Amino acid sequence: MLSSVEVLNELEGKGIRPVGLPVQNPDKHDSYLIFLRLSYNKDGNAVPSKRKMDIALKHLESKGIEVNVALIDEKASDLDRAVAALLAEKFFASAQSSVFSLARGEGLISINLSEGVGDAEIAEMEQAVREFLKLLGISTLRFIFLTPRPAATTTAFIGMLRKHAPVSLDKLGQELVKAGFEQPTEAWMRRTLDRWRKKGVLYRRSDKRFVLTLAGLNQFGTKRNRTSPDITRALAAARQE
Amino acid sequence: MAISEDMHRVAHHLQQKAVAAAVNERDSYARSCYNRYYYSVYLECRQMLSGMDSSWASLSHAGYPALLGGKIKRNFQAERKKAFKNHDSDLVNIIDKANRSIAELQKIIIKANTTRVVADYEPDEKVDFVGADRFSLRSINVTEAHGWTNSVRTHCKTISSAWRQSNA
Repeated sequence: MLSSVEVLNELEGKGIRPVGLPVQNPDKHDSYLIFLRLSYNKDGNAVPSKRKMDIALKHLESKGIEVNVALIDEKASDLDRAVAALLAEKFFASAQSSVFSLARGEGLISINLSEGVGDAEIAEMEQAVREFLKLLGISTLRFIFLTPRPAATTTAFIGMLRKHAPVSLDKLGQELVKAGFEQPTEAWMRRTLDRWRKKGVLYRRSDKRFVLTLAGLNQFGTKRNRTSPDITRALAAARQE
Repeated sequence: MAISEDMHRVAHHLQQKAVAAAVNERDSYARSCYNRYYYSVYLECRQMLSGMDSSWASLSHAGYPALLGGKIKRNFQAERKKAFKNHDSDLVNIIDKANRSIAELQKIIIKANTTRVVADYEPDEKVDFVGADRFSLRSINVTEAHGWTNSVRTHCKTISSAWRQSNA
């Protein structure tokens, strides 16, 4: 196995200069951990580039050495703190916490929202962060707004229906809430069920309870593991008996 | 209160002790503080993983980055494909964001673990005390370490939310 100094020399030979000597990984043989400081060139690209890092790591891999890289990105850390401070000052009650990260010039901001924050305030929050980061040269942004109870997507909605079929509208709403989703409005549920019924995915029985058709079961597929909705359904049915 | 929150509080307490301690003691407090901040990260991830699949609760911490980038990412890829086919653009969007969170989470886990390894196994490398209330180890400022738990919690929330949506 190569020594720390030898690993350092190999990395430097490929243009990668870690902070300090590589540290042997106590949890794995032939494995080292390094710290690497990232900087950004005038085009906003990270230096060293991901490609350069990959080449160096592959080179060491060919010698039987695995290297894990801990990136020190002071720019992203500074921006993370700046965004958190902005949100704490302007949206103290609505934004519980936030995290900013930077990858390939694109910023990602995840904001943990308090209960009951409306769309208007979310838009206001997004606008404030956008304007602030634009001043700091970051204009490509993605936002994640995390609500305590997210609305179910179509896939989740159909998945829940599948697990609890045959299921009435009321029961389906209750099950969605039990699974941690927002209580959907009856109008939305009716519209969604109607749309999929017309596509032949669902069938409404004479007792007004819904089931998936064979076409629906095929379209939404299944899984061959413990998370399979069909296994969950079979177990639930067995419990009811 | 989550156990990771308790661990975070212990880490913060050690951080405060380190800056207030006598010169011969502060290095040890600071090292323990980095170790506890790492442990808080680990517990937060463990809680998320055990909620996604109970068998992952017993997985060793060293396997977390590989699990995130392997099985979990592959599951998301398959579900994204299905969602795209079913015109569920909301889920496609949610999974794209979760994939980005996976990459960020992997980075934090590796960084926290590497710092922990230096703190625990490299006693000759001294903690660098800068100013009245800050210190760093191998350029990892304690302020950054303090932020790990919150960042990890937010990324975990994004990932587990996408998991719940696609595996409902």
